[in-house]
Amino acid sequence: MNLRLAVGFLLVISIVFLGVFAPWIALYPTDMGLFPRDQKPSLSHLLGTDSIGRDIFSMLVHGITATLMVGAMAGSLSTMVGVVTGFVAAYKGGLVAELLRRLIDIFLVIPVLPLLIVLSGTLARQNVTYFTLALIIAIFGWPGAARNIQSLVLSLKKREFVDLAKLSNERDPEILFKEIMPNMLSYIGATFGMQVGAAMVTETALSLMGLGPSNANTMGIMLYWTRQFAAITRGMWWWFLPPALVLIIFFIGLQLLNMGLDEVFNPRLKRVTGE
Amino acid sequence: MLFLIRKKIDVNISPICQYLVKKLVVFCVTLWFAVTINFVIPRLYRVNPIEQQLRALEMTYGYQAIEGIDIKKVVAETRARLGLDQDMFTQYVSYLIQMFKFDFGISYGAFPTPVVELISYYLPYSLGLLFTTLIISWSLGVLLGVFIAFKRGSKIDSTLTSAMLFLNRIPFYILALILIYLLGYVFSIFPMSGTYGYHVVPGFNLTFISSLIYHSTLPALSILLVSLGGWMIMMRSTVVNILEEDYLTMAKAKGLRKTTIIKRYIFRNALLPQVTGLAMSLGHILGGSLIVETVFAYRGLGTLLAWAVGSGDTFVMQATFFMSTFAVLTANLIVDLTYALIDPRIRG
Repeated sequence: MNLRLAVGFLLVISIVFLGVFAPWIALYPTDMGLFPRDQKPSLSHLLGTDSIGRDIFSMLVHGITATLMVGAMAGSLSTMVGVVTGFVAAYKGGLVAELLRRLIDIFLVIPVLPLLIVLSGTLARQNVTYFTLALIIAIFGWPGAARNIQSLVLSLKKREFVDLAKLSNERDPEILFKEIMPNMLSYIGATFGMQVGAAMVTETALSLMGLGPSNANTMGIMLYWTRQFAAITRGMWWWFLPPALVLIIFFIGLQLLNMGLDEVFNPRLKRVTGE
Repeated sequence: MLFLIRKKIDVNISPICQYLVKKLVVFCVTLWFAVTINFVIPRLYRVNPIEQQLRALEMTYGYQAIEGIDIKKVVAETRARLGLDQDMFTQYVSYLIQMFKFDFGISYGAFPTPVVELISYYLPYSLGLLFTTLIISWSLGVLLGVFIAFKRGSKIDSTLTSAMLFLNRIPFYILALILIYLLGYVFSIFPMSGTYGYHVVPGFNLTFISSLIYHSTLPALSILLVSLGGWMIMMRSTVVNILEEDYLTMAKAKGLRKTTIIKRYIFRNALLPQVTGLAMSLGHILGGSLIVETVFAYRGLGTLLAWAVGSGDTFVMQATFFMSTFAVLTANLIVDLTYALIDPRIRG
């Protein structure tokens, strides 16, 4: 196991651990402001309190859970749709596949974030739940996954074992599952990781603008409250730095994990990039 | 004597014309698609902006805020006035005609300002910030990529590449928050928000321009530091592949100077995928810059969008999406046109 894989895995798994065990790790409830406001970190409040009076450490841990949940839901949805549509777009001929290819091209050019803002901004505020948010993000996120899968299937399509399978009279779904997919598993995993990361970035961006679920508690919404109370101008680093740093650590860990897995599954790449 | 040889004029369209027409068609189809999505989305929920505003008022301030207003009657009136009671096809046609004329209606959050006025107030600064930052980060990325490719395998290569790889994964707005805190609060070098100073009046004078540059540095830096890594790494891998090609060995054997090799062989071959990469990531960078503008309260489309979200103004949101898409697609078209000029393979 190389260093990159180990470090990446460690970073990602520790944050996921914090998220999964949040109800036991978080010391205080976070739905009401119960504590003295704007407190610096101390022994009783590990990350201090915010301007409403909530314990920031508890909010952070619950926020990790929420953001990871939205990211995982959106990531799995967009990866599933992306795998199917990527395969159809790359493998089959005909009108449907052509339309799908054009659709993927269009979605990759259009700036997706303003579109997401229009979509969730016009939704009535009380209808936005975690799942709705994940659905919205996945609706515009699947073309990214589809494009990855599409280029991969295109290159695999030309290999000999596919011709052999076609000669043996295998039908298309059989070819997909028995021949092509086993060669793609590592790439599908990497695409899933990337989609989860991208979904978390998008969710945080939307929540920063104020479009997250109303009573929810993702890290993006924590940052939204920091903006509302001008926390940076007041120098309250203990409020906005933890969510920002947790997100950065998670993304860097994801990147390291991807690079490490790449080295394990595709050692040919090592020579090409000259490392 | 070559002019004496007359070529028969081909009836076929030249490849460059075919290429340009194809790109124009793609531009129109994509724009039409975006415009149609813009049309469909609010009608999915049967949104009526006045009703939304009234309900928002009722929710925020209680029943007294809308006492005496007969909601049903106001809603029916606005539906008639906005043409929402016509059938879908008529609505769609008149909508397309309006979009063609850049007529986005009247903003309900800032009644009675037309939306076009709001957009033209905020758009130039957005475009200026984005354009400047893109040019600087793309050019710096290309130059650094070539430089680092020549030094591949060395200590500086591995450290710089790893640093850029990690920087590239940070979202723009997170870096923006950190930069505001470090450079704005702790060290107080740059201002933490705003586009120009309080008493500065926009105009073509030195005070305004220097104030604008001073206030735009942090937003530009947040976008620049993140995207620089992407361009550098892409250029580096392209150049590393080129350096192993046979024609490079031939050029070195011919005894050409290093600068000539770089200009003639490396740049001309490596820049093309870089330009494609620039066109493909424009949409993503524009989206990110909108959020950065919100964080900095910069006078750009991002702040307008945040305000529109806060006041429930659907027309402004839709118009902002249309304008951003239009800007990205136009930029893509321009990039495609420059491609036709610099890539000899397209000329056939």
